[in-house]
Amino acid sequence: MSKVDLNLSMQSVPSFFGAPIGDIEDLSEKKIAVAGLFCDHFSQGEPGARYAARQLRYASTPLLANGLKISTPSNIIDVGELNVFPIEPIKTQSILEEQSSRIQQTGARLLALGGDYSLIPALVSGQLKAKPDCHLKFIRISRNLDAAETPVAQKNPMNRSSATRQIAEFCGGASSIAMLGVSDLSSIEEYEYLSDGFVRSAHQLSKSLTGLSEQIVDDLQDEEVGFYLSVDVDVLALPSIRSNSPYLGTGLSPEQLTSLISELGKLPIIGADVTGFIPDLDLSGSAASLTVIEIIRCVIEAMSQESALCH
Amino acid sequence: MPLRTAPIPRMAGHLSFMRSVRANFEDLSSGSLAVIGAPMENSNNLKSGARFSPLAIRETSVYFGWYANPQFSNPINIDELELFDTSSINEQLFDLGDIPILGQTKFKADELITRSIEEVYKRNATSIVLGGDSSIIAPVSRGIAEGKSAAYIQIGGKTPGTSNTELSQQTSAPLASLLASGKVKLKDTCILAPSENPSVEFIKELTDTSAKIFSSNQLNNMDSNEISDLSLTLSNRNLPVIVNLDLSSVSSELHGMSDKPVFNGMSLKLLRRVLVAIARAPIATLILTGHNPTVNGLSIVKTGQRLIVTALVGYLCSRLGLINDFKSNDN
Repeated sequence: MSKVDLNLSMQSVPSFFGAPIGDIEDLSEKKIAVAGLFCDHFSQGEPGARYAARQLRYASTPLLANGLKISTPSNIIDVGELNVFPIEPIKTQSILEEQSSRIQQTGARLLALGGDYSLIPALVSGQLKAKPDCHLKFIRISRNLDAAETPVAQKNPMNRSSATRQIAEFCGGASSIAMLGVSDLSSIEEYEYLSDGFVRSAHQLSKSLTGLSEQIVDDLQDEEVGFYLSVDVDVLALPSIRSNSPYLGTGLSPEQLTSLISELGKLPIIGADVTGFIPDLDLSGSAASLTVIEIIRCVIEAMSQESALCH
Repeated sequence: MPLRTAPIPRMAGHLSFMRSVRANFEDLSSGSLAVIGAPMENSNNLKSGARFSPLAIRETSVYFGWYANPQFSNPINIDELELFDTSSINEQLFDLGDIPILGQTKFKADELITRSIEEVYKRNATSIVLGGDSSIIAPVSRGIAEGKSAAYIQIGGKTPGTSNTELSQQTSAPLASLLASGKVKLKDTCILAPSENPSVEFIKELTDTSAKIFSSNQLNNMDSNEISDLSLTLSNRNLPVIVNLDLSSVSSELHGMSDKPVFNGMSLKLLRRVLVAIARAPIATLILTGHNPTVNGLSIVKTGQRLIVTALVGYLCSRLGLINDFKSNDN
């Protein structure tokens, strides 16, 4: 048998999009640190989103993607899962904040995948801790406002229903918040709290996205800003995708969501997350995981774009 | 300081084999034990899925891992309350990842497997190859035999009708093609707990050449030293020893994850005892085949997979010299 000239380059263990696996020392400016969140039980809603990172790694690994053409974005590094303490919410909040801050300090941008929205305030807080002078604005794509009042005697700081309110407090008030894709199920109090913010329903967004980024910038009245983009898959009107919010049959189609994310790419996105996805646990991935992979790819592209609107 | 300073949950993070260090060929040296995936399968039937085995085994193995996760720092306790000093394992056990056979022709995929195993073997490192189905055995063996000959221990799996039966009639018995290619000679063969009874003709051929064959019942009545002698005898012939562990050697009621259910196979305890014992000899490679994680549906971690990994942990600890008291292995 004649020898075949083949380059021996081993397929590593599964990583997001087959990206290089690294740690804090591998991060630098222009890089996107993709991290998993293995935590979904501190808040209400169906558990299971902790397995999203695992399944998204499998579904985006070319070997397992059933022939789908998946290429690795050149600027991402898979930094593994962020530390969590499954039975200690206060400790989890603290360590998530610290890790988010340390990633931000390297100049890299954090993209957190999996878990639920209750973890995100800690990540946003970490971003602000690393860059206290940055005017951070928060864009959330979700069917829910999650801006309920935090109970006074709240022992668990990680609560999805009040996560937006926590983030608003970190970012300087409701005027720093843009909520996109909202359905009409949130309470009047939540709408009132966000009256200074930018709120658009899924129905409004499905009509037209033209000028949306400009409207967000105008509405936020500040051009010297960085944006944090938070995407919850509960915004999808796709019954085959399970999220930890109940499916209502309303929302955005995957195409509308990816168009929306692309539109937001005009803004300087310094951190992002995709949460809420409860995957099927097949080894070979599934149609739902591949749909979410495409959404994540759009988020990576949006994060990689040079901002056209802000500096 | 690394990004993570505290433990992560067991199912989280990068799933290398037992959380071992991810490495390249260049990182291997004499005494290293390299885990390498060969996600290849020849299936064209409904039982397709063996290609997912490396992934499933790695994922299951994190229950036994310790490298990147401080919560695994306790000495592993497989069973029998055995304690190991695991500190040296981190320096010896490496995960090389999977051989990139996606989209290759069968010829090129075979060549990639052969070259990968060669790269490990020429550094005097030993390997555990996670299949894949039995179609990986021939290319792995070529990588070890290097144009010469190798000794072969088959645990489970099919036996050829006879050593010179037409290959077209017995392609499902990998030993047949190894014998036909000359990579393995019948006298340097040892068959343990075959999944089905061998033919009378084949047993006679084995006996005539002093090759060994033992059923699971016979193995059960042997002590560890007798089992060790099987591999030590082969390695004393100055031949590299290849071990193929096919999951069909294990009783199906323990795992149900083989395409060939076997109900008089080895128990987990016996399998582990056999693996620990034969690992006393310098095994060149252990090839795991016959595991299909998609049989019986899918889940995160299956009992059967945990049992397989438990047995593999025994093997690798023995291979790395961490088990010295072989009398306890018999208990």
